[in-house]
Amino acid sequence: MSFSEYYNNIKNSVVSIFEGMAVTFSWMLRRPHTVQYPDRVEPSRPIVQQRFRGLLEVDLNICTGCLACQRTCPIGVIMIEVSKGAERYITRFDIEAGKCMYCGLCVEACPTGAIRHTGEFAFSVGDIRKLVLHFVNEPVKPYKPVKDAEPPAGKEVGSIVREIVNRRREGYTQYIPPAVPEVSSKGDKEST
Amino acid sequence: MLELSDRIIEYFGLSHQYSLIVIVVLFFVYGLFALTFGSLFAGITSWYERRIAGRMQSRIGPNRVGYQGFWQWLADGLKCWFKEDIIPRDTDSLLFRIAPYLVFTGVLCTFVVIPFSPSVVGSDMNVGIVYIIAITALVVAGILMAGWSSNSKWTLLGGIRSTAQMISYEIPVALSLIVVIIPAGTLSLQKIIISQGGAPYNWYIFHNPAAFVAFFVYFIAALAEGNRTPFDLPEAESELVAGYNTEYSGMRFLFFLFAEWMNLYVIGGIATALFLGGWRIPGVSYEVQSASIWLEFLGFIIYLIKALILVNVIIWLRWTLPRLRIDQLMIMCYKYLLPISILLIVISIIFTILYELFPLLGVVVRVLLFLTSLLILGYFSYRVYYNIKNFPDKVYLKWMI
Repeated sequence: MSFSEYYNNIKNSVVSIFEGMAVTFSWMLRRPHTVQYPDRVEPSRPIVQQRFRGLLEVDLNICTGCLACQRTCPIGVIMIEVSKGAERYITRFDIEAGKCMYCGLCVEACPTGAIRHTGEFAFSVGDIRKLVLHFVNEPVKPYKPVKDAEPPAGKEVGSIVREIVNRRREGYTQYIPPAVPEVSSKGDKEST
Repeated sequence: MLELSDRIIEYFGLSHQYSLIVIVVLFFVYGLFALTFGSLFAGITSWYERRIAGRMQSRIGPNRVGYQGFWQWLADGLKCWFKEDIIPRDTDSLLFRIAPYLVFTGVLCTFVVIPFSPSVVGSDMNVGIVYIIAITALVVAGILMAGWSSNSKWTLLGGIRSTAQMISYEIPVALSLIVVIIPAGTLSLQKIIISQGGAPYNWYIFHNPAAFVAFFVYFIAALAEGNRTPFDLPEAESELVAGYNTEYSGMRFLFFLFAEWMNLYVIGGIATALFLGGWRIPGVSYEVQSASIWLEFLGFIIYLIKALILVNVIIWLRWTLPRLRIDQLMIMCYKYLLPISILLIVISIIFTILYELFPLLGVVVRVLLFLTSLLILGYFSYRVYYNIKNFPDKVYLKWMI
């Protein structure tokens, strides 16, 4: 080791410690980023970041029933049933939140952006089977994309899953799959 | 302590046959005081360090127990108190039991010579610094015992690392203290403090350039000797679970932590006494200060503030620097700190002789060094300001969250 190298080692360590201490001191003067969840949450501060990958939800207003998300999901979290016939109906759209690993592949695959991550994360239940989110209560007609047109504005992100979570907290009710309606009985149906 | 007992005997008008009793009682009281002071300091520092760590890492830290989580340290202590004292089957039981107390005693015994104020000191030994260096060897023995007797890979590795580190770093600590002992001409901590002045430029840190560097050499080496981050290899949690105290639980485990946090005050206290003027008040001579009880108390406060500032710096360093590798640690000791401190001793001798010949030179060098350190502090403040300005987060000085 030459003398200049020796000297430079000392100089570099002194300078870097000096700068490092300035950085940590400046951080001590800033506001902590942590949120004291759940009892000291300030309403003005968002709990999660905008691109947080929380519980999945499906906006059935714009779901085309293409099953792309079901096929992409590596662990089979999404279960979709579409009735065959002259008029297609989505009769089942379940997401097993207990199994989901929040990888976001289904979100990427979705052509219309119907399936998406929300900021919701608080969903603890006493039974793992209660973690299955049912999005279809009565059969829904899939959305048919119109060429060169924006899809209709969906519901607010998080509102659908929040509704399910709130309903689930009140008490778990046995899930009864909805019956497939006859094609002739009714025309269009509003989404749930 | 002897002076204090004389003063007490004089104050109460006792006859001198009671002096032995007074001294024994005084030693007992002082021992209790040092134990209480050290333990309370260790406890409160554990909470304080966690709060500071929280703010530096952009979190909040413990704030639930009591006002701002202040009683967290007591809650942790109670928790450890009520925990089961587990002694694993294959341990060397006796060594395993006494090791934490050896570590604790080794650190606590340094309070014998660390002064609090002109007359409140356990014993103003004429070999005070040698005593400190010698008594802290108990810590090495205790840690090695803990590591060996636990009969576990992690503890053995941690204990042996720790021993290697502490024995190596005792050398730079001792050598950097000699830099101050040369101008002071004494090993007694009280006399070293008395020979410094109250004003900052009379402190030994500004005595000559060698002493200025020696302060930092001492600080780094003392951190390493006390197993503090960035030299906390013995308890490197990512490699060794918890190092030498892996197998401990309950109160025995807590005694290691007591020793660690009390050691912070010891590092700060020794550095304050030797380099930063100790309990001297600017513009007040030693005779005047030791005559008045209020000035003594003021000296105690001043000493405490200086030591606490250094403790703050230690905590701050812990959350700034990453841990060194073991070979880097040894390189730092034997290739950098050791030669530098030997060189500093030579420079200090030269300067001390020069000051004898030209007294004016001493004043000039002291003032220049003092101004230089003020400049460094100013530049540091600028760097902090720069870091704050170039980041979107605003300054938020509200400590209580």
